[in-house]
Amino acid sequence: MTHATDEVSRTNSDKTIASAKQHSNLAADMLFESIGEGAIITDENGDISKINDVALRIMGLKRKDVLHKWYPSIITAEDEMGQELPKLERPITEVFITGLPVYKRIFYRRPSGERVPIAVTVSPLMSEGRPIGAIQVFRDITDEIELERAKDEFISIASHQLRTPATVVKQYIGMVLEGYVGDITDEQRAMLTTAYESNERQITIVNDLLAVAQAASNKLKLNIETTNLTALLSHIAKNYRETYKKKALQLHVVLPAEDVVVDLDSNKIRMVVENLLDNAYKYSEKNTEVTITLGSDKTVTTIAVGDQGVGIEEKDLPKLFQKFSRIDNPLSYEGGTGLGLYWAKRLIDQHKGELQVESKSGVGTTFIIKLPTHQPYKS
Amino acid sequence: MSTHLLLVEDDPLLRKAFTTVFTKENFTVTTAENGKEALDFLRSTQKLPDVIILDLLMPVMSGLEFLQLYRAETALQNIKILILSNLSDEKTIQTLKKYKNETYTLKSNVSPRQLVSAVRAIL
Repeated sequence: MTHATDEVSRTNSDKTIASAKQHSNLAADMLFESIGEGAIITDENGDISKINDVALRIMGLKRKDVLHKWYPSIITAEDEMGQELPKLERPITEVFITGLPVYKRIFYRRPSGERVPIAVTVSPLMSEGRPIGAIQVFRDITDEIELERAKDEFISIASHQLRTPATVVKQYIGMVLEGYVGDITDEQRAMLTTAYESNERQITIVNDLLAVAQAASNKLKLNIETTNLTALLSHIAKNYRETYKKKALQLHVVLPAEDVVVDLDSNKIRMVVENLLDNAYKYSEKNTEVTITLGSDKTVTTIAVGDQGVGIEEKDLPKLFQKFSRIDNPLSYEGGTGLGLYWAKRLIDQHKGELQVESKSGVGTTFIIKLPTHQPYKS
Repeated sequence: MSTHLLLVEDDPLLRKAFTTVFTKENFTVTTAENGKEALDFLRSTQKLPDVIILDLLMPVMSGLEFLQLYRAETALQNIKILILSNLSDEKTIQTLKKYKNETYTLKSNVSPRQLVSAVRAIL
């Protein structure tokens, strides 16, 4: 009897397990179909074993044409420039090679010829430590791309429009201050200088906001090129000497005997160095010195910008590279957005480098840019 | 003999300011309000300017359109160009890199005297 009861209860429990399994399969199927994003499951060879309607719609394909086919063969994937991605660089292939999830933005070319931007995440399906397939989830990001484009355009136009009136102010006051239209009294000079400097602050704010907006929009792509850093720094210093004279600041450049030629985005590095020179100018007392020092060995290239200015207190150092951080010091009325260093650090991070600071209150500050002498990647 | 400057700028206030400054610095200044006017001048003049200050965002013909057409004309290749614009977006900067002989200066970053130095530096 006991035996029979056992049989019955086992059968019942088998049934419960089977029904639970069926239920969970059904739930998984429903989830797969209704998640609202394209979803594809492949086996360990990359052949499609399951695909949902959204995926078919995005790719402009029919189910019968894709099931059990090798995934990279059913649709062409392209990069931003319209170049076809080699099969080995397709996200799905990468996952099988590395065993790690891949997130990418690519373009699909539909059979109709239409190009669709998509964001794709592919993860390996692992069993006992080995991939037995992959799942790809993806979505059409046409609207997102359009929004980004509109935002970039807005930033570009807005900054241009904000700079234009400030430029007119700068030129007209500049003409008077620089003696193009006759002599002025000391009192007039002092007042116009105040107006000129205030306008300069406004220009700096626009420049900083623009730089940060660009950095934030994921558009911060580096254009790495082989650059003569010795020449670049000499050129920047030459441009700054005129401004530095206004505060009787001496600007020295210490360069190694041989030209330093490295791979970097010269425009971005120039912006960072200029930002550091602007800061050194702002936070230096009259008649002091600022020194740019360049050094380079096989692995690291260093650009240091050191001043003999007001310095930064130790407690403030950690805040320095944060967004909108402003630090109180004797010259902090000099103004600024608190964005310059945040953004400078981001640019250096992008170069796989480091931006460091050494400072002593009342003695001076040195910013050190450390860059890899050889960039791991080149555009 | 004074240096001949062609100033291509659509903003009348800036055109006036730069004309004043460069005239005082003993340049001969010719002005154009857009790329088309500049190109018309260059094609018809007997004596080409030594240097061009070129704005980018202008009606009728932009600075970039001007550069494209201008570069196709071999007679004009020796004129130095200083691009002076308040556009500084990545796309513009990258496009300008194609034109290797041009110097780009951000308009809001130079005082009148600095602008004169920048022009003298490329001459």
